[in-house]
Amino acid sequence: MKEILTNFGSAEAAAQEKDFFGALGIDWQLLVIQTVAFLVLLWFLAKFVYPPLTRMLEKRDEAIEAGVKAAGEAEKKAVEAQEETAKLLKKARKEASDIVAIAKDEAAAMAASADAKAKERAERLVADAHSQVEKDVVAARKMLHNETIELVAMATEKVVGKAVNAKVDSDIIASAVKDAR
Amino acid sequence: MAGRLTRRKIAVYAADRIVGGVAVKTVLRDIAAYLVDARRTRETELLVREIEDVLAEKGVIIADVATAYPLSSSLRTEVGKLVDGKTVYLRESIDESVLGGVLVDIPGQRFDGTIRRKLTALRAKQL
Repeated sequence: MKEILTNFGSAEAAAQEKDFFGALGIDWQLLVIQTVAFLVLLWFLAKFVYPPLTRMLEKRDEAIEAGVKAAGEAEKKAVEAQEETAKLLKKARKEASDIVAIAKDEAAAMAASADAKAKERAERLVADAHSQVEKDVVAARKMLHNETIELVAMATEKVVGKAVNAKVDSDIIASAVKDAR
Repeated sequence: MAGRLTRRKIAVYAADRIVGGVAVKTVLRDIAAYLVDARRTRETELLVREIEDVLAEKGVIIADVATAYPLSSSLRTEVGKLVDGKTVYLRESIDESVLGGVLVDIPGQRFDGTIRRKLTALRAKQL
């Protein structure tokens, strides 16, 4: 840098001297040197910097392209997945709907069955109750019958014991003998 | 010494004598003497029944008649006609538990025309 400034100062001083290029501020030597330096720099860049850079850019382009492609595929897959999801969702909804319908049918069947069983049970209970009532009535009638007979027998025994005298007894015996013949 | 006489033989002997016209009192006295002598007085009741059975076989019926009140002569005749036999004796007893009517017991047979039996029959109709 220091050298460039020095050269620049020399060139300026030369320009003040005589030639046309000098008047324009062009120093041939410096121009050549700069040209050579530029060419060297260009060669260096072309040899060592541009190829890896180009490769890197190509790789980057490839990566980007691959990324774009992947993004496209991903988008496609996403769309497909969305469609699949929609299908699955639709299928799941249908299945859920079917399940709900089946559950409703089963619930209705169960309710009907439970209803029928409850009805049958109630009818059986009523029938049992009727049967039990009939049995109780029969038992009560039997008991009443027996108690009536016992009471009649006891009352007859008491009454006859007091009412029968020798005359009545003779009549009873005569009747019994007559019946026995 | 003779062997032990069976009740049946004694009964047949006594019945034959009674049917043969020997007084009952005489026959019974002889039998009683034998039972005392043979130390078989415990068999008296059984022997009497045996004699009655043998008499019944020979047409002499001894009927036990139970009534609540004493029988009149006409009823006694009527009751006697209930029993089939050449000769019928009625052994009467008063039993108030019959309530009324007559109960006639003869060997192997019974006629129950009492009110007690009718009440018993009524009670038997209980369910």
